[in-house]
Amino acid sequence: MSPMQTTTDCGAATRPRRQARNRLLAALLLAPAALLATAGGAALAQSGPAAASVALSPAVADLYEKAKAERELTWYVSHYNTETAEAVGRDFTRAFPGVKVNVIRATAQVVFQRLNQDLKANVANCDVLSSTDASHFEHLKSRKLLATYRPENADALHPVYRDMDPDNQFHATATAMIIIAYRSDKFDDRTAPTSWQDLLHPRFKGQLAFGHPGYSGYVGAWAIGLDKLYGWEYFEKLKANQPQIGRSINDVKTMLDAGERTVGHDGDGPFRKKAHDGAPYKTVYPSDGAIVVLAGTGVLANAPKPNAARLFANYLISREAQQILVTRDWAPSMRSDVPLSPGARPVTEVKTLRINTSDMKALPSIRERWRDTFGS
Amino acid sequence: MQRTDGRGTAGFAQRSLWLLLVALAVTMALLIAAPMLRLALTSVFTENGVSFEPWVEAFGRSRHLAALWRSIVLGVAAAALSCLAGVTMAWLVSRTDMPARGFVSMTVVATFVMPPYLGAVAWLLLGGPNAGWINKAWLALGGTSQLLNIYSFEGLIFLVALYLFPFHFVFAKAALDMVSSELEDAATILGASRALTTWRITLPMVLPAIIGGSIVVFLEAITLFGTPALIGIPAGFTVATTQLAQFFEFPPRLEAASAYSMALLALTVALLALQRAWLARRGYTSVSGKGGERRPTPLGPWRWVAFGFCVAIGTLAVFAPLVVLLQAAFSKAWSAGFSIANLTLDNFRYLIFEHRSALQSIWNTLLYSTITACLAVLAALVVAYANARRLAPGAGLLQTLCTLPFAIPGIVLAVAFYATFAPPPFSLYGTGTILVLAFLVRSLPIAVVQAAGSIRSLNPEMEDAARVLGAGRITVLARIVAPLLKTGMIGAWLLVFIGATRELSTAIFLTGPRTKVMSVLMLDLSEEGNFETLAALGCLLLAVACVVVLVGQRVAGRDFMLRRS
Repeated sequence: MSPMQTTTDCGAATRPRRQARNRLLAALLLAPAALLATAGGAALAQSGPAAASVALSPAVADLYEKAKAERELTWYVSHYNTETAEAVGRDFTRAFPGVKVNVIRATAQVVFQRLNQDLKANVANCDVLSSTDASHFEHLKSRKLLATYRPENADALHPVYRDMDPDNQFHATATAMIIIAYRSDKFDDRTAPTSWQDLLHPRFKGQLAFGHPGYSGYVGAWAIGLDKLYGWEYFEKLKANQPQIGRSINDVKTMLDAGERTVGHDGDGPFRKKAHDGAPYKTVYPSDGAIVVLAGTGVLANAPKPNAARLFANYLISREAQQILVTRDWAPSMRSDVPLSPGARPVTEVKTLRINTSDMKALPSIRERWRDTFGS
Repeated sequence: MQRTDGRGTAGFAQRSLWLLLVALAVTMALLIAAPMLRLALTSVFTENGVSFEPWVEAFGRSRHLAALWRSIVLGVAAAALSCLAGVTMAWLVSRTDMPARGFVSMTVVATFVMPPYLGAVAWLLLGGPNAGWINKAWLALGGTSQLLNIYSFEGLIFLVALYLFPFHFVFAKAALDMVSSELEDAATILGASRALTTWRITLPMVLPAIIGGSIVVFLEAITLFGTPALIGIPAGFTVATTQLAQFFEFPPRLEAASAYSMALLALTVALLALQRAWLARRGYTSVSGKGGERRPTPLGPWRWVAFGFCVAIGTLAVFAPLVVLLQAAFSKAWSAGFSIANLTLDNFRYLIFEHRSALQSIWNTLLYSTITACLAVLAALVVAYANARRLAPGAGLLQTLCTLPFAIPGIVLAVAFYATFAPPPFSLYGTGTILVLAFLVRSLPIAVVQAAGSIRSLNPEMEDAARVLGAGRITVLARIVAPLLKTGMIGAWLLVFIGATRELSTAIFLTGPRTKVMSVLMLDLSEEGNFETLAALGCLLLAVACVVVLVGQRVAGRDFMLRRS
């Protein structure tokens, strides 16, 4: 039986109509680009009842049965870039046919602002929250807004990443080791930066690109880390080098790709992959410490699709999902059974500065200081 | 009194019209007055009782005050720049023999269709200090340093003026079209040169229109959100709207946001009051007079210079941005330039088949804009008609109420709507309804002004004839007035529709995951600098808007947005 017929969801009647409408819209919009579109569309439309590759445990099979009746879930996410988040959402539906993911991707602070608008208006939109700012979970937890759920896969995480929250209200689903990346066609080994401290040198004036701690959770962790290392003075000196400030940490890739700037920060992975693919990049594990931060995922206590939400939270730390992150972005693997990307150094072998959940609570004040220093 | 037709079907119709007007009045009061009142109350009634704490928080930091001041400077500078371009172009199109005047009008329409934030995105690619096309070309041509940096306050002023000058153009052209050549001839006969005549006679005659245009541009400039967000964050400054958005960051400070909104609101009201007082002291009645001959001023060889000027502005506002947007939309990487290897349809395939909310957002935008346009035109028609024919006491007040939102910045309206309609008993947050209502309030003034203008041109004799023959008010409205006003109303519909498709500042705090519109999705995409996908989505939006405008022009005539009365 098709999953469509088993539903008891009250919104079910509108769903097929919306799908039909979207398909019609797609057909209309893509008429001029029919060639490529039909190929891609057909492939997507045929995502038939491909069962999960591994046999499901009884608990997961039970969640899946109930999730099928819920049909979908809404995922507020600031992990990954938009494409990868969308890819993860699609792969979940491939693994669990009949359950779709509405991917709502924005930077951590924007996502959290929207969630809080929802909560204040008493509207339950979000099922699963994935944020790069761990203090968001602490905050939600203190207001009893998170469900307690320990995903089966939590035990399969590498011990370093296990038990982000002892009370099982959120779990690590992504991690970043923030490093320096630069254009190898603009700097040689002599002139390239080797540490965060290096970036203050005048030769990087007008060359630097960063995200914004008022938007990105990872950039927030980075700012907290450098404030810990060198005090706020560091940023006042950094300002003299006139960095370009974007919003998401992913914006740095665009700035460097376009040639607008030549040096920036990013989670370890994407720039190594770009270099491997032939782009002129090199990455440096800063000698004064790569900033390591855990990004978590929690299920909302008032999730409208509680079972699909749990199924998805468990999926995010499955082998398949973690493999997608490693394959697409060369992101750090959080499971021992997913090998690291080529050339990646394990977090245990690099000099790091770890920013933990309680450190992240400093972010609102750091954000204010940032704005006083950089103006926006 | 017309008490006599209080019988039979005509009486029923009269009563239904009354009922309709009362319902409209209540709705408008609820949609406009209630949120504003709520906003004012929110700024003083905090959780700890009456307090001026929010005001201190809103205005107690120099950064917040600087943002407000920067907005005022932005508004004044953008209005001046836009006045220069818009009024000059309007005069050239309306009063001279410049070639291709129809084409120039079309580029102004195209500028209006281009959402300001989309134009801004295109200009990030054109005017980036190192990777921007203009600077790259400049360096390639032998320039020694970068020519321009769009990430600057000057860059912001330029962009804002560039996409707002159509307002100046429309206002000035409508007025210039009415000034007859006779007055100019009088000056010429008395020995004034052509230039002096234009400067001392023609332009002063249309001063109210120029001032009206300047006020609209000033208000639009200080309430824009997308462009200042795109430019200001990298450039390191905030303006009032981006500062207002910061109050919404976690932990949200709705009270401080309300207090801060009051400053924008006060500024607007003060400006409108100033305009009223200033215009009241002078008489401009000769402008409204119809008839009289209008001859174009011959420009001689300057015709081509004038045309070049208009094309240059069209290039800055539409042609160049369109080229870079299309290039980016069909590119793997926009910065790699034009080449076969760089060509791809992937951005469109991704948006349409892989992105979970792109299609939904396109659909939402079309749906909400259509409903908004229909409701706005319908409401405007009824209100303006009731007022023009004095069908009910208070109809004039109702019409004034409908034009009031003109003074409410979009982002302030969003804050007020969120505070009023998100909590029970309305609980509209996250629904399409709250967006449609917000768009409706935003677009009512323009719809009402258009409707009132159209109705004024209608001679009541035709309606009286029908009434004499026994038709009720509703019948007259449906069978006589509506068909006669069809063209004007379609024009108003298009203006509201296009306005709604590009609306960002009201949508930003009111959309939920299911009610996301294209403008908000584009802002999300811009966070990551995902310009290729963003450009593809922008091209889809422009394609849809172009189809609607072209269809509209078929029905309503080419000048639908240029005709104001």
